[in-house]
Amino acid sequence: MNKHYHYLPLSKVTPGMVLADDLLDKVGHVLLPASTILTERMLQAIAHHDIHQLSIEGVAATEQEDSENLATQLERIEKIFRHIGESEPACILKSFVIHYRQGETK
Amino acid sequence: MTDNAEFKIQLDDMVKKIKDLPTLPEVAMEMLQNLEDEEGSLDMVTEKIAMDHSITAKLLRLANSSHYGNNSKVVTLQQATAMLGIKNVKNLIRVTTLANKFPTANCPGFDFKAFWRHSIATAVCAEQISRTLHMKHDFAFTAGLLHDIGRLVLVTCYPANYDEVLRHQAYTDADLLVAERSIMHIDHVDAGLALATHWNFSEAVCDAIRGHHHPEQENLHVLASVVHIANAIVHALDLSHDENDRLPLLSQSAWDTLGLGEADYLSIFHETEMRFDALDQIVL
Repeated sequence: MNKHYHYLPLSKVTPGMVLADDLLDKVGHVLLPASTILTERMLQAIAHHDIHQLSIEGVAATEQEDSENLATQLERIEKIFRHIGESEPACILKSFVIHYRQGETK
Repeated sequence: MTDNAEFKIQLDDMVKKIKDLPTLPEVAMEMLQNLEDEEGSLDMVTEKIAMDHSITAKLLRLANSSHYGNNSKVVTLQQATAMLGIKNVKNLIRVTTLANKFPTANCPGFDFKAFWRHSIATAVCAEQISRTLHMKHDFAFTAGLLHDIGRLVLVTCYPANYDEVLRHQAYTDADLLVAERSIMHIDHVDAGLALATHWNFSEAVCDAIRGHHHPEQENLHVLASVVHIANAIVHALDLSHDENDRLPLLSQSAWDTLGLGEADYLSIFHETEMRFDALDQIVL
């Protein structure tokens, strides 16, 4: 996960969080500029604009959340690679994806 | 005991149905067919897209998104095209018109959003791979975008049959190609090629469609290997959010052809996720 910002689904955004990026509407107009501290009211208004995720500044996930996320991602990797057997390039690709996910949470 | 004969499709019949498909807007068709002239006049493109408000709006959003690292506000179409560059503009037009204008069908088992997420992510990833390899041609994005177009042809022309394919695939956890062949006796590679021929796609794109599952076939354009690996990466990164996603058979020969190392792959993963994120939010 990027250290400076990340995308959160609207349902998980709470008042007090800070917009990492300008929020644009469908036509590309700025609804709210970057660095805006979001209020309950703004969040309600945003919901009317067909916007489902927001980029939020520096929400440092707790270590526990990080390790839970990683566990979920590793589980998904196991599932997606369930049919590879001994196939060599597939095993290598799998190890790269695992390293990639592990590196993200460090 | 009757087998699956009732869902069987003849190639001739499919070609006929493809001819009946509505065509895409002329600008888009031209851009999907002609990939050589990527640097062509910016003014002409701007002029053409100015007529389509939904594309204009999307271009402005893309130009204003942080992924292009710009702080000043882009408000006109000319600014947006100048900033994004002609290649990104054309790619966005390709994605937008295909994803929004290709006819859809009523097939409950087919997740159109997941399909487009997969296609767009493969396009982005193929472009990153070709960039890493310093490949001269810029067909990679379009080839990635179109590689699975045959699935769309099958589901559009034969929604009931395709629903059966998907049910069979979910039940047996089989490879999609195998499921398609066992139910319809035709697969999305055949269908994709038939459409590519009818729509006059370039040779390289046809090769990418033909070879995206088996890039080791002889005389294929190297783009087939690029798209094959991009396809695998997109499955591996879980970008289409398809619950039952699985990695298709990965070709040793394609893997060796690209010859990329771990550091290359990790940066391709990262770039792909970032760029896909930006496009996905704007197009779908």
